[in-house]
Amino acid sequence: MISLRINGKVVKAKDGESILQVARREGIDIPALCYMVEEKPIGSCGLCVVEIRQGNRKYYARACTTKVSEGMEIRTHTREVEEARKTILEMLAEEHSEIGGDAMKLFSRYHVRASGKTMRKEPNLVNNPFISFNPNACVSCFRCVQACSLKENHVLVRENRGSRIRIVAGINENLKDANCAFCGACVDACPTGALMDLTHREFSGELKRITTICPYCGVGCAIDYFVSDNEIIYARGSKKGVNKGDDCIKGRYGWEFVHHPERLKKPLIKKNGEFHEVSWEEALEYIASRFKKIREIYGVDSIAGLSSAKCTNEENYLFQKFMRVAIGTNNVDHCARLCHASTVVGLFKVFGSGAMTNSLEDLENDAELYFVIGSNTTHAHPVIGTMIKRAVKKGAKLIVADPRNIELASYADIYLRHRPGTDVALINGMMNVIISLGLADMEFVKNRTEGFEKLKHTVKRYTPEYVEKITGVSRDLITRAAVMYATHRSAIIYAMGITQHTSGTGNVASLANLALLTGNVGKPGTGVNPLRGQNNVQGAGDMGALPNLLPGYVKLGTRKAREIEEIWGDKIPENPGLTVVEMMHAASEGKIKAMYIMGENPAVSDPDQKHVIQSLKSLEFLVVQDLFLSETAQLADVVLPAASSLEKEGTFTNTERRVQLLHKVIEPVGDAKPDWWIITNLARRFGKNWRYKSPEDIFEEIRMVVEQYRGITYHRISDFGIQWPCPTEEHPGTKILHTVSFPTPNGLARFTPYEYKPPAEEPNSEYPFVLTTGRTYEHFHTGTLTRKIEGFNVLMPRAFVEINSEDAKTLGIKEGDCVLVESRRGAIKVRAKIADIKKGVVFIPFHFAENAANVLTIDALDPEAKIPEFKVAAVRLKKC
Amino acid sequence: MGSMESRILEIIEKHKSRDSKILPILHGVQDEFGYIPEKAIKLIARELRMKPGEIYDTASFYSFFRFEPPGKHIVRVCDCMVCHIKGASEIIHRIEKEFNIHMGETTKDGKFTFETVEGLGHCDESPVMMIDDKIYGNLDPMKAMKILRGYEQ
Amino acid sequence: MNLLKDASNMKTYIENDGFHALHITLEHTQDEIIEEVERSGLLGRGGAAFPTGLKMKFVRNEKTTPKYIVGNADEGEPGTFKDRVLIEKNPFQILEGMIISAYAIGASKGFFYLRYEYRNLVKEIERKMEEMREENLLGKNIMGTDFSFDIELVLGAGAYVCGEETALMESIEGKRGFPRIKPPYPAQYGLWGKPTLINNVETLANIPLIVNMGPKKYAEMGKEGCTGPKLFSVSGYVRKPGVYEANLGEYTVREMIEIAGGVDGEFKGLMLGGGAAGFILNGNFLDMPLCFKDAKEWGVSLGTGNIIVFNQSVNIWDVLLNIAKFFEHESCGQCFPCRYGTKRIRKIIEKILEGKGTTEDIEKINATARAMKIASLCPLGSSAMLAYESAMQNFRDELLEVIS
Ligand SMILES: Cc1cc2nc3c(=O)[nH]c(=O)nc-3n(C[C@H](O)[C@H](O)[C@H](O)COP(=O)(O)O)c2cc1C
Ligand code: SF4
Ligand code: SF4
Ligand code: SF4
Ligand code: FES
Ligand code: FES
Repeated sequence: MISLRINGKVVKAKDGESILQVARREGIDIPALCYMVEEKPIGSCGLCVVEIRQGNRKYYARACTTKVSEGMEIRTHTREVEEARKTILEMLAEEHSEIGGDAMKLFSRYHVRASGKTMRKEPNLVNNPFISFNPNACVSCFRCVQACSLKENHVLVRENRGSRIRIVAGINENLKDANCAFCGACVDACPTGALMDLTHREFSGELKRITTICPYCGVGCAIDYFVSDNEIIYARGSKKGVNKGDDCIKGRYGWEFVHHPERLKKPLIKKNGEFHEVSWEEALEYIASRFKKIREIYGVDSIAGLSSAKCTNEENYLFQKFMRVAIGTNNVDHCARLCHASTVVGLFKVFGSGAMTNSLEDLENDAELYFVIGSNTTHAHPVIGTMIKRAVKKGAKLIVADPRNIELASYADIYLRHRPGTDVALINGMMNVIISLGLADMEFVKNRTEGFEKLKHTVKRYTPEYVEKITGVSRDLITRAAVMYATHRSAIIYAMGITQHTSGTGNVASLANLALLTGNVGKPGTGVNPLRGQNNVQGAGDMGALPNLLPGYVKLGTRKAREIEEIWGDKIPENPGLTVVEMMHAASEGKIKAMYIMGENPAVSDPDQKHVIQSLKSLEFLVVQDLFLSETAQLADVVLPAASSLEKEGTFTNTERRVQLLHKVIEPVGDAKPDWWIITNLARRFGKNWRYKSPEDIFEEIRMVVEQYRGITYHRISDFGIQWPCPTEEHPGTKILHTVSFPTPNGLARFTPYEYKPPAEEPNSEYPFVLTTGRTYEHFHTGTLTRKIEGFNVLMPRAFVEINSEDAKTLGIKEGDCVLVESRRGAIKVRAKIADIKKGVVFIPFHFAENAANVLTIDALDPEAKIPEFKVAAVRLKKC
Repeated sequence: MGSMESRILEIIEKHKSRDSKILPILHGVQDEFGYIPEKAIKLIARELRMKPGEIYDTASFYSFFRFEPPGKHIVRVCDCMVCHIKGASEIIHRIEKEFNIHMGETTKDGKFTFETVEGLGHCDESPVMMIDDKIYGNLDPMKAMKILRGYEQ
Repeated sequence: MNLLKDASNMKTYIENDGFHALHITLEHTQDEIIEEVERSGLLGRGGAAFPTGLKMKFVRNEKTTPKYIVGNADEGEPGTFKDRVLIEKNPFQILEGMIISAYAIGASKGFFYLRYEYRNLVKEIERKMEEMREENLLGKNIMGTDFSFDIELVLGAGAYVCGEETALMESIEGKRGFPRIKPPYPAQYGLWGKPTLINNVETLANIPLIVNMGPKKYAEMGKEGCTGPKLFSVSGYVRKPGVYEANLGEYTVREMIEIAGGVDGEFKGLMLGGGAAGFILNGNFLDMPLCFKDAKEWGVSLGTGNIIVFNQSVNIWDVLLNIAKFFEHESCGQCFPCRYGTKRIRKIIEKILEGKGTTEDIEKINATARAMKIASLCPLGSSAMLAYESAMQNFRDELLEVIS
């Protein structure tokens, strides 16, 4: 404790505190314009200058940068410092014609008004759809620069010096060319209103802030929405969520779809090829009667349902319950089949549980090394991407394995650029090195696992030399990566680059083997961590929207299944149903006659698009429930307008198993209804007397059925979610899985080695390129939401194919050329983008219905998880 | 273009292991091309695992780094205190008139880029100018013009 | 001549006792060397006149490693050119001083930061360092001891503020030359956050002298409070402008001007200490002894030791405009008081020179000067108005004559 005087008053302070901190605590208002982050004061404005006497020395110093020390006598508002402050503000006022934001208050306090006449030249950065910049208001305080660098983006920088200093993006480019993440941190930082959100809508009256969970990816950021008169005005990352105030372009600017004019507002029934608006009553009656008829004629298993990873836990729970007990079939699945089915199967086999083992918090604070494989984290899960970049800047190690030179690769200590589809070989190779160099954690292997000999036997063959041949990664790099991984507290992070393969389950299991082998499981900062694509992939699985598993991953026909029957008071069919891709095949073969699709767009998202559309067309009856008339909805007989996640309550379970509560931001538009309401009312027409009045009612039932959720209540998670398993209401939730034992019969993890199997389709002379598909930063999934947002389309208007520069040269293709990409299944035309991608590999994003990448992809399936191989198809390219 | 890239990479490679890296690399690039092309900034960023903006943030601070190609000869006329009181302004005036140009610009024929600078550290010979790396002192307008005409050949 | 000896090739340098001091040093402990420097009374020659021995001790006492040493040859102060002449004439003495200092503080790496305008000296300096490596005076195991030390030359790129020690370190680290907020000082938090000793190259050239002669004899050159030899850059309206070496306190300003050939034309005044961050003085100061301590008593400072002589052709407002432009151009732009202040001052003086100056403008200059002095982040901003303030004292009538 330090004792000092401020304005004559004796105050106590802690060592290391700044004068400004102490003064603020004492209620003394020292003007401070550039001050933003406590630990890193910028010190540009000089307004916080104070007078200090110490011993017989008198001097002036910045309150924000000067640490207090014993015996200081500080005077914060002497005539000299006040005069200096006023002079500084007057000088700003002479130079600038407009000053807004918080700075305006400061100006009026000192009776100074912006009066500058010179109009400043705009830097190039302004040319973008989301952020505006007013050079006449920018005082170059550098808060935005600091904000951008704290996000590890380093887009906004300073140009020139002295009085000519100004803020630019990159090499004085526009924000997009400078790789701006449009995270908006700079806008939030700007004190003068020079940087502003362009999407900020006009409003009158009061602004309410409502915090809910972002409608996009599985990170599950909390977003603060500012609402007036049932309209969202603007949004920003909430400090209350797992994101701690961070956000990304989608969270911050991606809400505009809610107010889009094309939102479905009434139920539609197709008659003679045209949709007609009808009442809910009519639509629901019609659906019930058609389903019943088809069931009567073709049997229960002629109907199938697709639930949705974009809907809440409550809705997924109801949907599968509806299919199982109202229709009477296990034919229920959802799009996680297409992204993480192999995760569930693979991790289940090894660990006995198919979820992310660790939590974002311990990954951020405790990991010494990140092994990122098959995840373009900064694009698909930007908030986690930022977390990794920050950790690396602080000294954590990073290994990246990816055929594309993704942003994280430039942060990596080791970058492994392997051929698509050779992950098992790569990982086996690493294990081979670890075993042969004696780096395995044998203590852990002995006490916590079984099957080590089997593993050892399998990976023996995968010497670095052998693996080099398969993967194209040099033996030296493989060895170095293995050693680095094994000798640190290491966390594996992966996404669809691992799962979407015919060897998806093998890929996942191999990563789990690797973690076990080195004892990197069950401890902070370690584990095997799948990043979930949609915001409720985890929850949809937890809720049993799966053809072979009931809520809580209960197997059909077991004792536990019968307990569920008891709670439901209904019988559950015992034969497993069909998975997504199997449903489509069955439909085209005429075995499935009707489908109920909630919030999904298989016509764009599923592999071999031509085939999917043909299957959907061959159905006798199709019901689609969505926000927009998606490509799939257009094929439907009945379309039901659903409320978006911003228009309802319920829970989402994020990628780290955290069950989070949604808060209604606005009322549903038009006649749209929450999915849970729709399902409940449909069920009534099947004689099910469901009495849920609110999502909370449903959740109370979920708690009874799903063990992992038992201790969670709406009340407990009203501010911040809890991670399952959470067995009792006293239980704090589980941050890290498998700390003492695994959820297997004997508590041991099971090494499950896999052999490398080549992808289903390999390039040959006819189709010489490997196509891999994925996402862009700006768009999401099939674009049903993001492509309704003007700004996202400006940034990323159309599909493209990324191609290596040498390949491009050989084919005579230049940047922007039209390219015909053909596979054995179809062809699309897209623009060429010369990129840093492995030779012989091309990449196409899958968001774009008009140039759907999935026309090209193959629907070859992983035999265990039934996930299609989106990441490898053989194609050829031609200039068109 | 390919050769420009490989030349830049060589320069980066040469100085990368120095503790001070960035300044020597930027000098190397400017010595080679006369200015710092955008391409170079991108390559430097890539090789040093930084963002292009970070490199530009540094480079644009210093008055001798340029981002546009200069004329064949760079003429730097000192207009700092000592040179100033000893007649630098007249020399500058004369140059601006004779070449029909403002300081900071390049002549149309691309022969000269003229700049005023803050102190060349040869105040014992003020007024002074530096053409490329060579210092010319004790100037008057006529002498300065004569020297410049010599460079035109 | 102790500093300005003509010893630019190694042979002559060695014949003149070159590297003898290094030899002696390596037979002494680090603390013994630091104590000698302290006892010599050497004050830094880079402008701030800080006791060199004390600074060495600060760095020596830091526990963190590695430690660094920097030779500051950024010499950006207008009218100062003594470092250039020293480097041209006697480069080995600077380098030797740097090695000795490095030994004393325990640094294994040094940087020689040279201003861009002196780039034609780069090859020479690098060749000299190479010769020294060949002679085992630099590099691994110097003179067969287990002391290893090497020097990297870094060329600046045109920024006066990079002469300021913390801006210079940012620059070496590859960043823009924004001065850092002090404290922490370089002795604790210097290059890459490590303890760093930074000295002007002339300061460093004094170190071998101290070791060779012993601190007592060294201190006898000059007088108490300002010991040792010093270089003076004399320029402007004198007949023989140049760099002159004299012991501190040995001559008065008038005598130094005489040494430089006397005034060219009719004496009007002079600028002392620096051509930007210096003092504009009148004839009353001609009898001031050239000594740090005396200067302080006279209310000024010797700065880098330069004297720019004005004859009657020089207009003081014009000089002030030149200085204002200099600061506007050289302000790093990091902080508001200096960034906006330097520009505002320039604009007002331009107005005054157009004959439109009013007393209000003078008031405005004064208010700006006060704000810059107390609220600037680094000494560039807080000392930018020294010239104006001293001119107002010494040429008040002339300056106010044009104000209405
Ligand atoms: C704006 C500014 C410019 C400076 N320029 C120089 C310079 O060019 N050379 C120099 O040696 N010191 C310069 N200094 C002083 C240095 O900050 C530092 O005090 C000096 O290098 C210390 O060396 P010394 O103790 O040997 O004098 C400058 C200081 C300021 C504030
Ligand atoms: S939006 Fe984010 S990435 Fe873009 S400039 Fe602002 S802070 Fe940087
Ligand atoms: S844009 Fe705003 S935050 Fe950035 S420097 Fe300008 S005033 Fe400061
Ligand atoms: S006082 Fe001037 S030079 Fe120093 S930090 Fe501020 S703006 Fe930069
Ligand atoms: S708040 Fe302290 S300098 Fe700006
Ligand atoms: S003032 Fe021009 S060289 Fe010194």
